[in-house]
Amino acid sequence: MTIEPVRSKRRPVLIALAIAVVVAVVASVVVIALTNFAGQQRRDSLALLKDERLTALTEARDKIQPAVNTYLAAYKKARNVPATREDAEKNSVKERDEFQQAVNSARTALSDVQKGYGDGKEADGIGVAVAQLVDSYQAYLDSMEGLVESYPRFEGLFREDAGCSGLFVGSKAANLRERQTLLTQAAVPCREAVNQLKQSRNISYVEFARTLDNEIAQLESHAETTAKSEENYNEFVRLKDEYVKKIDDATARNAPEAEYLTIADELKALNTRIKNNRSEFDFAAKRYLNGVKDMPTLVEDVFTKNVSAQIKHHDTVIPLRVQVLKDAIDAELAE
Amino acid sequence: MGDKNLEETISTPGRSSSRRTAIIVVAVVVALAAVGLGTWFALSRPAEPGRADVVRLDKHRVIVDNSMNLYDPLVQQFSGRYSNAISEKAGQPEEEKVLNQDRERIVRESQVNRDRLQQMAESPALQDQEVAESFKRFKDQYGAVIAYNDQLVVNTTNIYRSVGGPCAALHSSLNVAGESYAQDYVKSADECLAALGTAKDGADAETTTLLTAVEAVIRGQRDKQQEVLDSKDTFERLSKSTIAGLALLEINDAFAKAQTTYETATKDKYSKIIESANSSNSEFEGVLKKSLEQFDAASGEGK
Repeated sequence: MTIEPVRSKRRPVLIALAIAVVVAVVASVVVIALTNFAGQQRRDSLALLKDERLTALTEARDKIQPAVNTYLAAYKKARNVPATREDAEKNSVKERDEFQQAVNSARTALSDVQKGYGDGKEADGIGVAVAQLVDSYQAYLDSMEGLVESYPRFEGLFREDAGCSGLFVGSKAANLRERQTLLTQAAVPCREAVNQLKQSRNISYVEFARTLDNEIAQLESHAETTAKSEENYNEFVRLKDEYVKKIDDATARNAPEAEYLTIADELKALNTRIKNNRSEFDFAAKRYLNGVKDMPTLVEDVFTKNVSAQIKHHDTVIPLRVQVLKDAIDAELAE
Repeated sequence: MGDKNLEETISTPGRSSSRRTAIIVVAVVVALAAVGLGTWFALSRPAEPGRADVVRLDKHRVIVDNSMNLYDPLVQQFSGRYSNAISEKAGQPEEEKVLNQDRERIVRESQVNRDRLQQMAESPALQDQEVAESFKRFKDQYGAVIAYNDQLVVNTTNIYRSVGGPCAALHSSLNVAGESYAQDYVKSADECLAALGTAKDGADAETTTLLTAVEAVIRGQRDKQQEVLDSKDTFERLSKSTIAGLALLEINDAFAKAQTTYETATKDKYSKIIESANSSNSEFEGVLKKSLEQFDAASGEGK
């Protein structure tokens, strides 16, 4: 009886100890294995991200620019047939679809990159690099979509669609007041189209539309000044004739000298008015002509300068973002 | 399973010894758990700086160096958009939009770059004295590049807001031969001078010098036109306006001089900063390479 309890007490203790040890060992092995497994899985997914998904992303982007150019050329060709905007859009729908497909594939490739790293929400080096790349890449896609989307509107500005070519009224008008009236009429639909272009998702169009809008306002103001000056001038001619008559009259009457002096003072004031009128006219006329003359350059610059600068910007930024992400992955995978 | 056995031991008579057993079991489990955790920690982060830490630090160096190349296109984009919004009078909401999108992007970029430098500062590879010293120089120089670009964004904003805004009208859209020129000039000049005054807030030394020079030129012209306005008779008015007109001819020289001074000063400053950054980068690269070679030599000997 005295031995029995001791035995029965020790045996369970030993069993308990042995089980505890086994459980602990198994647990720590499992923990280590799981950690290693998770680590290996992360390494695999990072390697996949770097080698496959980023390559796919770059390849998808390489297809965008040619698709943009093909569409722009197709639309322009269709429009020059000649055809209306609707018909030209219809006849370039294939190229438009191909562009859209290229953009959609690029967006898919981008979301694969995002998903490849927990949606890029993690705040570590890779997560930040993913988020930066996504930001730049998306900005590129948006601007290219905007470029294609608003092209028919931009291209149609100086055609009959918006009638901005009606701004060039110079030779059609008999006098400057008529020029001003024609200009104001043409400016209404043109302005409306310009304001719609301001809503574009491509900043080059938006900035151009802003400048054009201000240019039109300048033209209108200069047209008004020159028309007014011309009318004033006609008035001055009439006044001058009156004064000639007045002087003739005074001479015939052998008028007192005081009357001559008054007429002389009035003539002096009239001369000042003529001089000021002339200066205002010259100032406005010169600017009006320059505004008209510079307008084709303004339109041309949209593609030759601004859009190409924009594309160059993205061509610098995106490869750098990709490189930074690749290096961030390499840093993580370093052994 | 273990719990069931424990309960059985507790239910047997002789409580003090069963309590002791329980304590032993708990102690053993705790000890084993500690060993397990220790192993896990040891496996996941070695205490001694290893080769991987050096490789990692070198990659981070490349990342920071590459990231500096992003400032040029980003600042250019911002200044282009901001200048258009200001000069084409796109309105307050558009200006705010450019500031919030394109300027904030640069601000975030700088924050990310500073975080990257900070992360590098925590690298175990910096336990090596030579690596640590070389990194310190790298961090200082690249910190200066980041700070320069932050300041550049402030300067750009201030210059466009003033010189590109109310001051631009002064010498482009006013009719010099016009009747009300003197009056128009004084009015526009006062707006311009007010804008120049606020533009100096937060500007660096070079920009302040530029803004002060522009301010002096405009103030001089404004006062001359004011004299025209204050003239008592036509003759005085005529002579004053001739003097003011002649002074106007010199204005372009004065502006050109202020601009050249500014451009030379900022260009010099920036190329010095870039030069120092580049040399600290190649030095740091060399030190890291040497450290890697040491690791490789050590592992070669081990074989």
